[in-house]
Amino acid sequence: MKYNHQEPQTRDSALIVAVTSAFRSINPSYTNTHAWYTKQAPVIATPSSSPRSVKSRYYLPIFGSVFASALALVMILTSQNNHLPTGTVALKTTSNAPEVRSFSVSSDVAPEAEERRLLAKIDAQSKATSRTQADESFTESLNVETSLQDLFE
Amino acid sequence: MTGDNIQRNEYLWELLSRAKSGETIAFNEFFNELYTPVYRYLLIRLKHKETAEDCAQITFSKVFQNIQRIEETATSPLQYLFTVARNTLIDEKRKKQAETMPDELWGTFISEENTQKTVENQLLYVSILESIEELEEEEKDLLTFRLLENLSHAEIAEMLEKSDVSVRKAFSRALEKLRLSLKNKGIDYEI
Repeated sequence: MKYNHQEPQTRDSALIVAVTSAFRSINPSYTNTHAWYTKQAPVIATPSSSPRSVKSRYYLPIFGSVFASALALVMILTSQNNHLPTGTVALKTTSNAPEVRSFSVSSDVAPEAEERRLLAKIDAQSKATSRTQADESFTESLNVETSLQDLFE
Repeated sequence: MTGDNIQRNEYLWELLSRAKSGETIAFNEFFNELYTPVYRYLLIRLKHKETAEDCAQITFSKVFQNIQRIEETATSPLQYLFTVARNTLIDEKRKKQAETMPDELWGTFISEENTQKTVENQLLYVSILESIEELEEEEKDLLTFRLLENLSHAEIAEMLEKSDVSVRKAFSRALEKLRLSLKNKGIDYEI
């Protein structure tokens, strides 16, 4: 086999060209070397090659922070509400005047004073009403209570 | 030294001086520019992929560690780098003298992309690399420095601590041996 490369200028040219091509045909592997090099001399951080979506880049942080703020606000308000009027509905009963069992709005602001005021009022009313009326209203209230119990059960 | 070589040397010196002043990217460029020739040289001499990679890494590691000591003198960065690579190679061979280094087939190192995808070329390159393997160590160095990276006879002479004339003669002798070896394999480069 005779190898005569294009227009060799000297006796060695063809051989030199062939040897150079043979040398340059050797394919280096960069995988391990690159791993070594990045460990040895880390380069300045560059933006990620696979960019994150707009949704994950902007929406999640924004809504995440809004949600966190809202949650914090709710927690603050909840803790403060322990010292504010609750406005909850409670069933007040009095042993002396069962006819006035009723739903009333209680307040945490001076509850004892409020209770005493109501009790005094109820006592006054019970003294004023006759026994018959009291019995009727007591029966009615019992009926209401029974129906409420049925409802909860 | 040709005009291209002078320009390349200037570029490499610039990269090294930037790397000296702390620009990591400059050394990165230097590495990317010269890794392939250094790796090829080491592979031709060692004929073992993993060991060649290790030696290439050690070579660049040494350059990186001693970067502040490198001075812009008459020697080119290529010359400096190949001197470091050659010393690393000598150390490696000394270390592994007792061990028998497993040989790998030349065909596995040749990429199809670089051989114009012809089987004939691949076979030819394998034959050439096998013939080079038969040469003396110094002749292998001469061929790779001269033909792989186009270093001048003067630069090689300085690296090998020989005279310019003796390097020229040794180079011609190496080519003659190679031609003869290839001829014995049925590949004729006589004109």
